[in-house]
Amino acid sequence: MIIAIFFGLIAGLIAGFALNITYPTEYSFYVTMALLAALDSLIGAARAHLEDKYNGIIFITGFLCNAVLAGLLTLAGDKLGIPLYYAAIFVFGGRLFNNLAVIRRLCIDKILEKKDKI
Amino acid sequence: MNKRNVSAFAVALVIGIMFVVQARASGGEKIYTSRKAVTDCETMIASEQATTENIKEQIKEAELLLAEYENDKFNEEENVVESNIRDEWTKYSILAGACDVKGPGVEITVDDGKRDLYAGEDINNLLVHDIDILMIINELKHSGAEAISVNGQRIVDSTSINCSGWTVRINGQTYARPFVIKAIGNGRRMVANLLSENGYGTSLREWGVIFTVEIADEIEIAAYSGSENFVYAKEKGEEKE
Repeated sequence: MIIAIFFGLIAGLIAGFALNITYPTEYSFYVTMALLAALDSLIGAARAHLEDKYNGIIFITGFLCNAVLAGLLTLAGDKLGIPLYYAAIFVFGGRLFNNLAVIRRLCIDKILEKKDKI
Repeated sequence: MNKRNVSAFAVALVIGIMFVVQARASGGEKIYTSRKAVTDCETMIASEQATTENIKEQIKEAELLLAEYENDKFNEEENVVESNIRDEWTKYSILAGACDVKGPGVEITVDDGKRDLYAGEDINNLLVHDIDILMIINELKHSGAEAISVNGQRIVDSTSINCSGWTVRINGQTYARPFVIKAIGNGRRMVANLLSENGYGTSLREWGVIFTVEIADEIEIAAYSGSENFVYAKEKGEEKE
């Protein structure tokens, strides 16, 4: 699965360069927030996979929900004049690091287990 | 397992695409703009548009004037172009001090004080200095004086007033006391300003310098006698349209 994520990212980058998609710059911040949410979901999925708790429906719904909520928060913040997007940045950013730390630990544990077996 | 990989791949693909698109759109610049910045820009645009409208109106006026001038070519009796140029010429020659002028104004006489010094008093308190003349001229200009002369020297753009010992150099010529300052303008206003509580004339009188000011109906001020040579300043040519 980790490999799938890796190849997906590379394919996405290539596709992004190849397709040359553009959209109005006004929405760029919403896209950034959605991107952060999606990244969080992806890392979360990788962690769940390593912990053997992965559920496809939760993953996909989480991905969509988080991205939409982040975008909506930014929009609401814009309308109200309060930088509400900070909430999304802090939560997703924090979770990104948390999940990454867990993934790293799980990976190290696995490697150590293999060594012990040998 | 396979299904998992497919969904993870799909999401990663979307993220990759979004990343590239976003990076391309922003070019690394901060593109998030707050509501306030947007409002600021809108205000600026509105004011720029108002300026543009203003300029358009000016152009219209200029075109009207131009049309008037065009008509004038065939009208021998009254030449608007010529009279306008004459008006301008008079205005600028008065401004430059290039012609004699007359009109109502004030005549000020400043002289060294004649009273005895107090014990230990500085003699400078009673003497007229270059700075006193400068201050009076400044006060006169502030009160709307249109032409000024000191001891017959027209005060023009390049006039300098320096101290040189017991005398004062004005426009490169040396003058001694008394100093007669003539100014054309609103006499009452100039006198009121000079002799007000904080006016410079009042201060001079308090120090003991002789300061008299008279309103006159007709003051004559001669043209500037020196010549102007511009070595460094050159006219900046108008851009051709």
